[in-house]
This record gives sequence, structure tokens and C-alpha cells, in this order.
Amino acid sequence: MTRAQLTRAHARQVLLPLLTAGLILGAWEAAVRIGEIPDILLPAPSAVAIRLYETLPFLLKQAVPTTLETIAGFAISTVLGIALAVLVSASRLAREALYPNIVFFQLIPKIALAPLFIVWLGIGSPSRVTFSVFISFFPVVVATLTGLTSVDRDLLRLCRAVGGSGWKTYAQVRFPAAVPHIFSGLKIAITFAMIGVIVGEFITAQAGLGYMILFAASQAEMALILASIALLCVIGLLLYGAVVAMERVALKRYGA
Amino acid sequence: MSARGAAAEAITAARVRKVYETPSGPVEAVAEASFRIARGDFVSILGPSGCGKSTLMLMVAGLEPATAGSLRIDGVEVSGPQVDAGMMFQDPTLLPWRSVLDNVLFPIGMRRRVSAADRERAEGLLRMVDLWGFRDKRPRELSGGMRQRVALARALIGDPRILLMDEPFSALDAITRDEMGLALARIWDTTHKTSIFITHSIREAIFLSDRILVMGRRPSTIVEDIRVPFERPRQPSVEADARFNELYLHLKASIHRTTAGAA
Repeated sequence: MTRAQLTRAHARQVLLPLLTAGLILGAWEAAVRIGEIPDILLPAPSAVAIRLYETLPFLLKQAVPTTLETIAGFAISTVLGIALAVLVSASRLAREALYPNIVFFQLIPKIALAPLFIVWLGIGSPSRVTFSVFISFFPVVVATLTGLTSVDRDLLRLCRAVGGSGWKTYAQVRFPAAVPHIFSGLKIAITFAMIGVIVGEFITAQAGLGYMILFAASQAEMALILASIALLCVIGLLLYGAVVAMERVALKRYGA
Repeated sequence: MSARGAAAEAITAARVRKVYETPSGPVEAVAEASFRIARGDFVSILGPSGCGKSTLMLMVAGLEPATAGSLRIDGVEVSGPQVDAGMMFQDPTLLPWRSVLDNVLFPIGMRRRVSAADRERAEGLLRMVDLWGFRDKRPRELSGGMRQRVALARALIGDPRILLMDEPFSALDAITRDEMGLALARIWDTTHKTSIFITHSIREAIFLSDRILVMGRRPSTIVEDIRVPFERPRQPSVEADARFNELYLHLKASIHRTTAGAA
């Protein structure tokens, strides 16, 4: 392909989805206007945009705890998830005692357990962060474990043959080999961490964008709900993008 | 061949047996194997797949304990991983995140700090395997044959007493495989490492070895022990020698007998 063709192919990849999104929003706008759908049911995208613009300083203030708690939940999940995976992969006893339980926990609809966290930890930030960790750390464990155990059998044999300690084998072979897998877990974890915080905000009802959505719903403020959701999308996208950026750096070093 | 250090025996296996305990009952990997390998000999173990030759190599390396029998290296009973053994596998098993040079230094780094002398030795080995120009490349930038040459340099970095190779060329295409055989023969001529080379290529075994052990299947044991009559250094022209073909046909029949009996 020539450079011009490449640029065109690239532009297509970006423009086509944007065009689709634009068409959907346009159809939505038209439907609301032509059908005279009341704002209380479904406001037009333009109305949402105006509302977002008007309330932006206020919404941004609400976004601060949501974002910080998401980052905190994600960070704790990362450390805890990787540590647990290392433990499970390193010790047979830990693996046999813990792994079936980890798999079982994966299967419970974890959101159903959210009220328990309020009972145990109250309605403050620790409760939401803990719940966020609870929601988001399983994917990190599973992905890290996959990475740590994916190392070629012969390579592990070589490690033993050259007289390397178990610790050295982790530091120099198993852990670096797991890095690409870990990031695939972290990309899931960052989205799950945000879901955890929002659900926490729904039920603790103190502050944050999750709380704003609930509050706006109680006031039948549809445009405000959608404006809050739009802001959540932007924050989610930025956080996800940050993890992808870290992944790019890590894969340059540890990718195959 | 007998002129070269025939006195010392490097590896002695006496009635070595290996049975794996599996959930579905014991599996006999090696029924009974006895052999002696003299220091500086290049010995191939030839046999059909599933005859236990890889297991035998793992036992020599001290990575799998023998169920019964005795296995000695330089007179010392093998009881754990043999740090003094260089190993090669079917897959090069390089670390993709390390440069070629750092891959060669990997076994040293697992034991202790890498010194300037180690680095020099690694550089020398890379010259020997014709990869000097690729020392800073990552494994993904190399061809399959080049990767196996890195693995060979890595196996030699600790100046091991023995070299254990488990089908190191069987994942390569035929042309690369022939080139690797030539390269190994040339490198072996400069190092004279006591070597065990596992293969199911008869030609490769004849071309490279001083001796060939044929391993059968069910029972998995050594059925033949043949000395290869060709001079060293080996030249590709030995394949034109009438004895080469004679030996080839003989070994082929021998392997055929062991598999026919099992099937």
C-alpha cells in the first residue's frame, strides 16, 4: 500500500465509527424533536449537552471522589491480585486451598454482595474502595496466574538445571513472562473498579457521579442523569487509556 | 577415536529405570537402560518417539530422579540438578525480552552476578556460533536456526562438563537442520564436550556421533550400541561414503524392529 492509501485506511478506521455515532445521535435528536418526546422521558442529545455544559463545574467536583476511589480500588486490586497469583502459583498448598475458592468466587454475582460492605464498613470511602477491589481483583489474579504458569516447561527445567533459586526464577523468568498477561487483566480491572465505585455510590448515597445519577433520577432530571453518564464515560475512557499507555511501555520491554 | 581420553568414563548408567506415577496408574518411561559414555565422546540416542529418550536425558541432567538403578557423572551419583550440564531443547526457550547476548548470559545470572569475564566469554561464544552481529537483537528478530545457535551458546556459557541436547533441531526445516548439524559438528570439534544428543533422525545421528545408542519402545531399553567409524573433523562428504549408507540402513532396520514389535 502507498502512504496515501495507508492514511486513507487509517482515516477510515477513525472516521467510520465516528460517523456511525453521529448518525445515531442525529437520529435520536430527530426522533425527540419530531416525535415531541417529553424531556422527562428522553431528552435530546443537544439538551444533554447543554445541561452538561451548565453543570460541568458541579459535576466535575462530583467526579473527583469517583475517579480517586476508582484509582485507589484499581491500585489495591493490582497489588493484591498479583500477590495472590504469585502465592497461588508458588505454593502447592496455597493453590490447592485457595484456587477452587477463587474460581467459585468468580461465579457469584458479586454486585449482590454490595450491601454487606455497607454493613461492615459503613457508608464512607473505605466501603466503596473495598467493594471496588472486591469487584476488580479477580481478573488480575486469573490473568497473572495464567501468565506465571504459561512459562515453557523446558525453560523452567533449564532454570533448575543451572542452579537458579525459586526466587530467581520468579524474578528473571516467570514474572517478566507474565507481564503481557497481567496487563490484559488490568484492562478488565480498571473498568470493573469503576463499576464497583459507582455501585458503591448508588447504595451509600453520599457523593460522586453515581450518587448524582441516583439523585437526578429522584428529581426526574433526565438530562442531568445522561450528562453524568457522559462524564463517567469520558473518565472511564481516560483511565482505560492510561492503562493501555502503561501496557504499551511494558510490552516494549517485555513483549515477545 | 580411541586415542582421545578413552581412560575416563564421564557418564555411567547402570540398570536405570523410570516409572511415573500418574492418576491412571504407573507409566513406565524407561524400563532399564545401561550404558557408559567416555569423556569427550559424542553419543546420540536414537529411537522412535515415546521410547523414553527424553526421560533418560532428564535423569542424566538430574531433573528427574531415577526410580531404580544407578546414574553417575564422573563417578559421582546424580542426586540433583547438574549445574555442570549444558542443555538444549527442541524449542530454543530463549527469553523474548532479553537481547541475544543477555540470553547467553542467562544461566550465569541465575547463579551469581555477571562479571566482565562472563561477558567476554559470551561474546566469544557468539562469535563461535556466527551471531556476533546479532548480539543486541531480540530473539524475535532471529530465524529459527539462529535462535537454536543462541541456545547452543547459552548451553556452553558455563563451560559445562557435559552437553545434553534433546532433539534440538527437530523443529527446524530440513535445510536449516543440515546447516545446524554442520555448525554443531564444527563447534564440537573445538570444544570436545562429552555430549548426549537425542534425535530421531538417523542421518543426523551418524553424521554427528562417535557412538549411537538405539533405544526401543516397550520395553524401553537400549537395544543397540554402535560405534561410528568416520574420522573427525566430520565433512559433509561422509554421506557419500558407502559405510554411511550401510550404517543408515542397518539403524533403520533396527528402529523398525523395535516399533514393529510394539505396534
